[in-house]
Amino acid sequence: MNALILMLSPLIPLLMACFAYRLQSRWWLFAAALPALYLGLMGEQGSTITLPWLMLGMHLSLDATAQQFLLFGAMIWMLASLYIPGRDLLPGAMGYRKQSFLLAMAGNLMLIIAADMLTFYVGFALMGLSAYGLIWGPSQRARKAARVYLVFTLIGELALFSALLLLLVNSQSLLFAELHSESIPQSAMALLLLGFGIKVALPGLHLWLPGAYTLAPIFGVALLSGPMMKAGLLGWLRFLPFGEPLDPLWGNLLLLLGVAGVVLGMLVGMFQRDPRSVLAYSSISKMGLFSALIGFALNHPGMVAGLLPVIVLLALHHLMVKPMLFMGLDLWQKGTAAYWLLPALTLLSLSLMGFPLTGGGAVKNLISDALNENLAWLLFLGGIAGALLMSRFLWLLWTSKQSAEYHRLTLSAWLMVLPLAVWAPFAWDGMSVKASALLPLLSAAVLLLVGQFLRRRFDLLQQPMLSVGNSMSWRMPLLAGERVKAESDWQLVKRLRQRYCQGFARWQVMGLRDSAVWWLMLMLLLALALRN
Amino acid sequence: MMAMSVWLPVGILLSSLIPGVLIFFQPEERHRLRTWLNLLGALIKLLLVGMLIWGVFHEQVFETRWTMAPGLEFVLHADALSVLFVSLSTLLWLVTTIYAIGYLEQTPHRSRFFGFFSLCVTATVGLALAGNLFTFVVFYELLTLATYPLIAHKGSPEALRGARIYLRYTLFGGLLLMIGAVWLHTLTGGVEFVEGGILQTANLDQSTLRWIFLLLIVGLGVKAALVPLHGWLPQAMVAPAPVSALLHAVAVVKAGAFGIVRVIYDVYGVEFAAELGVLTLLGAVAAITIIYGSLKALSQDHLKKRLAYSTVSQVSYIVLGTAIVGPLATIGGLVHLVHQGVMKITLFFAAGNYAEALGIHRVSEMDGVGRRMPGTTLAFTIGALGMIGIPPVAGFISKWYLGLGAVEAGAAAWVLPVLIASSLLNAAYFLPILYRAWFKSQSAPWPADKTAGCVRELPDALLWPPLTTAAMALLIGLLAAAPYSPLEWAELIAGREYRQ
Repeated sequence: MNALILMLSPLIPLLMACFAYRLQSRWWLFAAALPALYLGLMGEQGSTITLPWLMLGMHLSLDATAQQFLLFGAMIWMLASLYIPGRDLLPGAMGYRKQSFLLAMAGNLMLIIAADMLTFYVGFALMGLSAYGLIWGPSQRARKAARVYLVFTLIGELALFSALLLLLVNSQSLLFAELHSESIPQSAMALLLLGFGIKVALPGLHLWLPGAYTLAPIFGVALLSGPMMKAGLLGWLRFLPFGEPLDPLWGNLLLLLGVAGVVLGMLVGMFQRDPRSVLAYSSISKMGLFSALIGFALNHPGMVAGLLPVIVLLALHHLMVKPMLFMGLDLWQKGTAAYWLLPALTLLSLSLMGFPLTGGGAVKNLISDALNENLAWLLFLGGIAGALLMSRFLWLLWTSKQSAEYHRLTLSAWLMVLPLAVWAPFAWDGMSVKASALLPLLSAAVLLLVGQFLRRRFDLLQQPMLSVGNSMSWRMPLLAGERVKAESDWQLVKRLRQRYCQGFARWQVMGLRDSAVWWLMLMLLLALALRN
Repeated sequence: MMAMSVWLPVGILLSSLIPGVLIFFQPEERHRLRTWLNLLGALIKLLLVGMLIWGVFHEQVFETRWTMAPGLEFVLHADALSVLFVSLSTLLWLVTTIYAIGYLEQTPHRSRFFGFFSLCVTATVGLALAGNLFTFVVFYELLTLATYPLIAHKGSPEALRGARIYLRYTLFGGLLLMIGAVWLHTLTGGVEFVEGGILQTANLDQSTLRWIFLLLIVGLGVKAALVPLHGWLPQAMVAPAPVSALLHAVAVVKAGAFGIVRVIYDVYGVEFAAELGVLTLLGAVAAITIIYGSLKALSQDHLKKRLAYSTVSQVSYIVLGTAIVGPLATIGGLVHLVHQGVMKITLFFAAGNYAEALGIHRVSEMDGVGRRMPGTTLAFTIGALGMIGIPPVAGFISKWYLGLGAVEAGAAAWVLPVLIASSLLNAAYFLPILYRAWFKSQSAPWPADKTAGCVRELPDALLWPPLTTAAMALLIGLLAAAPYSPLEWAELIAGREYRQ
C-alpha cells in the first residue's frame, strides 16, 4: 500500500499536468499533493518500490529524510496552490501556470523519494525546467528573469548529468546506497558542487536568484524559495560522500563559498528597497550558511552522524518559514489591513533569524550542540546577517503604505500554517534559551547604531548604492546607474554628495535608529525572562 | 522453415517494390487504389519485419544468396543490426505514407511521387539487409537515384536546383564508395558483413587499409552529412515535408550513418579500426560536425533549414558513438539511430503542418502558434525536448549512453564537453521556438491561413502522424529498459559485436 502511494505521489501531479487544460479549479492543484502529505504524516519508513522497466530502472524509497521533506514540502505546495489567481487557471492563459506548477511539483516529489541517481536527476530536471513557467510573466523584466533562470538551470542540469556519468562508471551502480563504495573522482565532485550550487545560489552562481525572486508571481517565489531551493541541498545530502575520507579542498571550498554567501547576501540585502529583494538576499545569505555547514561536515567525517540530521532540520525550518514570509508579505502588500499580520510576520522573521523561543532558535541550539564548539564564529556571523536583514525587512514593511482589498481564503490558509512554521522544530527540542543566542542580536543592534552614527557623521549609506532588484547586481557600491561619462571616481562622489546636500529625493537606507532601539528593547525583555 | 529463412528478406524487399512499380502505372485520379496499394505494402512489410525480429532475436539465420558472376554475390542477410534499421524504416515508412497521402491531397504527379517513394524505401531496406559490401553499394546507388525525383518533386527552379546539388554530392560520394569497395574486393575477394569484422585476420597492408577506410568513410560521409560534406542537406529542404521527414529520419542521411556503422563494426571490426588509428580522426570529425551543425542551426530563421542543420549535428552522434571503442558507446550510437529518426520525423511532420495549415515557414512567424495548433505544437515540443536530451524523451537515453561510453573508454575529457556544448546549443535553437509558439501571442496575421474557420486544426492524416511519432519518442525513452525496446536491441547488437 505504501509502495503504491510512493509511486502515486509524483505520478498524480504528472498525470494531472497532462489534463491540466481541463482543470478549472485550484483545488485540483491542492489535491495533487495529498499523497505526498499522507506519506509525510503516516508513511511507513523504509517502504520501497522498484520499477525496472521504467527508463533505465527507477527506485523509489521513503527514508527519514525523505519523509520530513515530503511533509513540509507538501504543505507548502498545497498552500502555494491556493495563491494562484483564478485568471492564471484559464486554459493557456498566463504562460501555462497550471502545467508548470504540476510538473514542478511532480519533479520535486520524485526527487525527494528517489533512491537512485537517475530518478533524482529526472525529478530535478523536471522541476528545474518547469519552474520557468512559474517565473515567466508578460513584462519585459519578468521574461528576462525567467530566461536568466533557465540558462542557469540548464547549465546546472548538464553539470549534474556529467557528474552522474562519472559517478556511475566509478561505482557501477545507480543506487544511492552503493554510491560511495569507491572514492569519488575529483571531477565529479566539482561538477556536483556546480550543479547543485546553482540551485542553492552559491555566490557567483546566484545571479538568477534576485530577478526570479522579485519578479515571479508570489506562489512561484514561495515555491522557488522553499521546496525547490532545498532540493539542491537535498541533492548534496544524497550525492556527497559524507563520512568518507576526502580531499579537504572540497570541504574548505564549500565552507569558503558559504561564508562568502552569508556576508555578501547580508551586505547587498541591506541596501535593497523592496522587501522582496531583502528576502531574496536573505535566502542567499541563509543558503550560504547551509553550504558552509555542509562543507564543514564533509571535512569532519566523525561528526557527520550528529550534524546531518540537524542540518536537515534547519533546512526544513527554512523551507517552511521563507515561503511563509513571502506569502505573508504578499498579503500585507495586497493591503490586508489586519494589524495582527505585522506581529505574525515579525514572529516569522524572528524565527528565521533564530531568535530564542522560536523554532529557528531551537534549531540553532541543536546546531551549535552538534557542532560541539566548532564554527561558533559562523553561527555568530549567520546570526548577525539574519538579524540585520530581517530588521531591514521589517522596517521596510512598517514604512510601506497599504492599499485595500485582500483575499480571505489565502489569508486564512496562511494563518493555519503559521504556527507550524514557527514551532514545528520544538517537536525535536525543548524550550531552551541560551544566553549565547543573544550575542549576534546584540551585535546587530550595535552595528545598526554604528551605522546610524556613520550616516549622521558622513552621510554614507545615503544613496542607492546598489541597483534594486537587478539580478546582476554585485556591482560596486555607488556606481549603479549613477555615473556620467568622463567622470573620475572622486568627481562622482562629490556630485552625489552635492545632490544629497541640495535635498534631492533622499533615500533612507534603513530605519537604523528605529531598528536598533527596537532590538535593544527586545533584548532587555529577553534578559528579564532569562533571569528566572 | 528453410524456405522461410530464404524468402523472408526477399519478401520484405518486394513488399514495397511491387506496390511501387504498380503505382507507377496507375493513372493520376485512381486515388483510392493507390492509397490501398501503399498501405497494404506497408502493413505487409510490418508483419514480415515482425517475424524477422522474432527470428533474429532467437538467433535464426535469414539469408538469400544469388551468384551474379563468379566471385560476385548478391546477398541479403538479416543480423541484429539490419533488423534495427529495417524495423525503424518500416515503421516510419507506414507513418510517413499516411502523412504523405494527407499532405499531397489534390496535388499533381502523385503516382510518380508514391512510386519513387516506395522505391526509396525499398532501397533503404535493401541496404539495411545487404549482406556484403557489393550489395550495399548497389542499394546505396539505387537510393541516390530514387530520391532525386522526390526532392525535385515540386518542379520549381528552386527545387530543381536543390535536387541537382543533392545529386552532385551523392554521386561523388557514391563514386568514392565504389572505388573503395572495389579496391577492398580485389584485395580480399568478397567482403561479407560479419559481426566483429573480417579484416583483422586478413593480414593486409595496414596503410592500404587506412586509405580504403578513408575512401569508404568519405563516400558514406556525404550522405551522413559529415562536415565538410554536408552542403547538400540544407539545400534539399525544398522537398515536400514527407520527403524531408523521410530523408532526415530514415532514408538518405541514416543510410550514410548506417553504412559507417557497418564498415566499422562488420568490415573492419571496431578494435581493429582503433588499432589502425582511424577512429580518432573519425571521432574528431564527428565532434566538429556536432558543434558546427548546431552553430549553423542557431542562425537559421527558416524552420526547415534549422531542422536540417540540427540533423547534420544529431546524426553525428551516431558516428561519435561508433568512433568510441566500448560497448556502452556502441549502444549509445546505435540507439540514437532509432531515437534520432523518431524525433526528427516528428519535427519535420510538425514543420510540414505549420506550412500546410498556416503557411508558416520561418521561426519568426511562429509567435503564438501553440494556441492555434496545440496538437502539432505539442508533438514538436516533445521532439525538440528530446533533441536537447531532456529526460524522459528518447534523446536523453542516447546522450546518457554516449556519455557513459565516453567515460568508460577514458574519453570523457573531450566527449563530455562536446555533448554538453551540443545540448546547450540545441537548447539555444529549439527553446526559442517553443517559447514563441507557447508563450508569445500572435503578432502578425498568418502568412497563408488555409484552416480559418475550421473546428479542428488539421485533417487526421496530417495531425496523427506527428502525434504518433511524438508518443513513440516519449515511450521509447520512458520504457527504455523494457523488453524489445530500441535500447534492449542495441544492447543485443553490442553484445554480439563484442562477443570475441
